[in-house]
Amino acid sequence: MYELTKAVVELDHESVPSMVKDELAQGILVEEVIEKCRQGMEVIGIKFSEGEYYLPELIMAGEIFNSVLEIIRPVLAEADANTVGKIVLATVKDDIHDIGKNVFKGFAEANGFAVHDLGVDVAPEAIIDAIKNEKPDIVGLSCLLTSAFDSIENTILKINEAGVRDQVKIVIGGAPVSEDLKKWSGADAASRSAAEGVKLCKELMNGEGR
Amino acid sequence: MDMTENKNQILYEERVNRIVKAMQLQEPDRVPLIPPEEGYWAGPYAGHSVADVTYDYSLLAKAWEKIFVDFPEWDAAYAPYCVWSGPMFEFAGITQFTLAGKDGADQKMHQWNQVSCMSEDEYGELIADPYKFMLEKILPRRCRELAKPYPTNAMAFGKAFQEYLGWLGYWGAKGAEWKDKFGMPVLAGGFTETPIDFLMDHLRGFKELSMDLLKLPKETVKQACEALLPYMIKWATTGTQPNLSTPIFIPLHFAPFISPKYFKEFYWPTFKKLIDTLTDLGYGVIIYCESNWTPHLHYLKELPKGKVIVEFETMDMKEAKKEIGDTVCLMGNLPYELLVYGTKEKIEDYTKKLIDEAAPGGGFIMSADKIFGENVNPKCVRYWCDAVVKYGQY
Repeated sequence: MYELTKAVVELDHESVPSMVKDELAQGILVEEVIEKCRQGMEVIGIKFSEGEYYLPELIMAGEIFNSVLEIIRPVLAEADANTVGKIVLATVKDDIHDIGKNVFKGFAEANGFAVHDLGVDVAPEAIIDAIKNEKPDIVGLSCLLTSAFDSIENTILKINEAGVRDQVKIVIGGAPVSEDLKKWSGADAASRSAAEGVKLCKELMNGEGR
Repeated sequence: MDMTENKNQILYEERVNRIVKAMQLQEPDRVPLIPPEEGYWAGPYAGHSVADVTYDYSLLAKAWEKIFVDFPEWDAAYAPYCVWSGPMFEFAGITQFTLAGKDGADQKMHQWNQVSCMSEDEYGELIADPYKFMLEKILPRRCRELAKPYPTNAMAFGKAFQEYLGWLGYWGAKGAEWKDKFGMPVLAGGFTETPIDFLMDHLRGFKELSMDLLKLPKETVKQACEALLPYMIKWATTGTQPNLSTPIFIPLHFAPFISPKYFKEFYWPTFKKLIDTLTDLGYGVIIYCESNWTPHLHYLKELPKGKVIVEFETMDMKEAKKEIGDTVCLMGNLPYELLVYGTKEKIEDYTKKLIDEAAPGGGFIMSADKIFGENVNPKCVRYWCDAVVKYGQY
C-alpha cells in the first residue's frame, strides 16, 4: 500500500494534506495522487462495512478527502473531465439533515463521480431544474426523517410529471429508507449506508440494477 | 366514586400492572401495547396541524382523548407532551429547532438544526463549571432573545420559564384527568440524556464531536461527560416521582454511530452511572436505542435487573431476548413503514413474529421502531391493535 493511501486509511488528518502537496511538488501526476487517496477511501469503505470503522471515521475520511480536493482543484483544469458519472444530490424538502448526504458526497467524489450538491430542504422544482441544466446520470435523494417519505415520493412524482424521469436513475438514501420505500416511491435503488449507496450508483452506471 | 370512575380506576390499574409486570420481567395478562407517539401524529389524526398543537396544547390534549377512545388497546400515552411549547421557544427565541409553522412546514415535526455552538477549545471552560458555561455561553448562542442586553434577556428568560411552568402544570393536570376519565396512564414521567448525548445534541454537534473523539486527547471528552453527569441526574429527578410505572425517558443518540472501542471508552461509563444512580433512587428507566445497537448489545446485560425498558429501532429481537432478555424489558422494533404502507396481513405477521420472539416469559412491550409522524395510517394502527389483542394473550 502506498504511504499516502495508508495515511488516508489511518485517518491521519495532519499528514495527508502535506503528503499530497509534497507528491504534487515532486511532479507526480494529479491523477495518480487522487488514485492513491481513492484507494484509501475504498479501504475505509470496506472497514466500515466490516464494522471496524463507524460514522465518525467516515466523517473524518470525508473531511480528509475534501482537504485533498481543495489542494488539487486548482491543479485540475477541468474538475469533472475524468468522471465516471454525474450526480445531482439533495436532502429532500422539509428535511434539513445533511450529515449522511455529505458523507455520501465525499465517497461519491472519491469514487470519481462529479457531485452537484443542492443542499438541504430542496424543493422538487429545484431538482427538476438541476436535471435539465446539469444533465446528471443519477439523482441522489437523502432524508433522515420518516416524515420525509412523502417528500421523496412527491419529488419522484414531480420528476415523472416533468417528463425527465427517463433521463436519470434515482437513488434514495438515509437512515429510514427501505426496499418498501423504494418500491412505493419508484426509485431505482435505496440504501441506508453512504458507502453502499456509492456502490449502487456505480452499478447503475454499469447498467445493472433496476 | 361513580361507576365510570370505578371502571376507569380498574382499567388504569390493569394497564399500569401490565407495564410494571413487563418491566419486572414477569408475564402480565397480555403483551402491553405502547406506540411511540409523542404528539406528532395525534394532532394531524384529530385534524390539527403540528403547528396548531404546538401553539395550543389544549388541541393536542383533545386529540389524545380521541386516540384513547378510538384505540383503547393502548396501554399508555408514551410522552404526549413532547411536541413542547411553541410560545416557550418563541419567548426565548430558540434557534436550535426548525419549528413547525414557523421555519418549518405546518404539518411536519420540529427539526434539530445541526449547528455546533461550542468550540473545540472551550472544553476546559465546560469542565470547570458546566452550569456557568451553559447559562452564560450556550443559552445566548442557542436563544436569540437571551443574547440581548439586560434587562431584555432577563425578561425573555422569565417569560419562557413561566410558560414552561404553565406547560408542565397543564400536562400534569391532564395526566390526572386522563386517569379518571379514560383509565389511561402516561408512561414517561421524566426526561434526561446521557452526558455524551447532551454534549453532542446541545453543545458540540454530531460532526464536531465525531472529530473530537478522533482528534482530541481522550481525557477531554471523558472529563466533559463526568462534569455533565450530575446535571443529567438532576434533570431527571427534578419534579418527578421515583417509581417504576412512570420511568425516566432517555433517548440515546450517539452510541450506535461509534465503534465498540469508542463506545466502551466514551459512552458506557457515564451512561451506566446515570442509569445506576436513577434506579438506586427508585426510578424506572426507559431507554430508546436509536439505529442498530447490535455491536453494543451485550453491555445492556450489566444494567440493573427488572427496572429498565430498552426500546429498539433495528434489532434482531430473538437475539436480544437471548442476550439481555433476563435483565431488561424489551420494546419496539415494529417497522414504521408497515404503519404507513403495510397491509393487514403484513402487519399481523410482523406483530405475531415479534410476540413469538420477544414475549415468552414476559419482559416485552409492543411498540414501533420510530416515533409516529403525521404519515402513520390510522387503518394500519387499527390492524396492529387487533393483532396485539389476537396474539398477545399470555
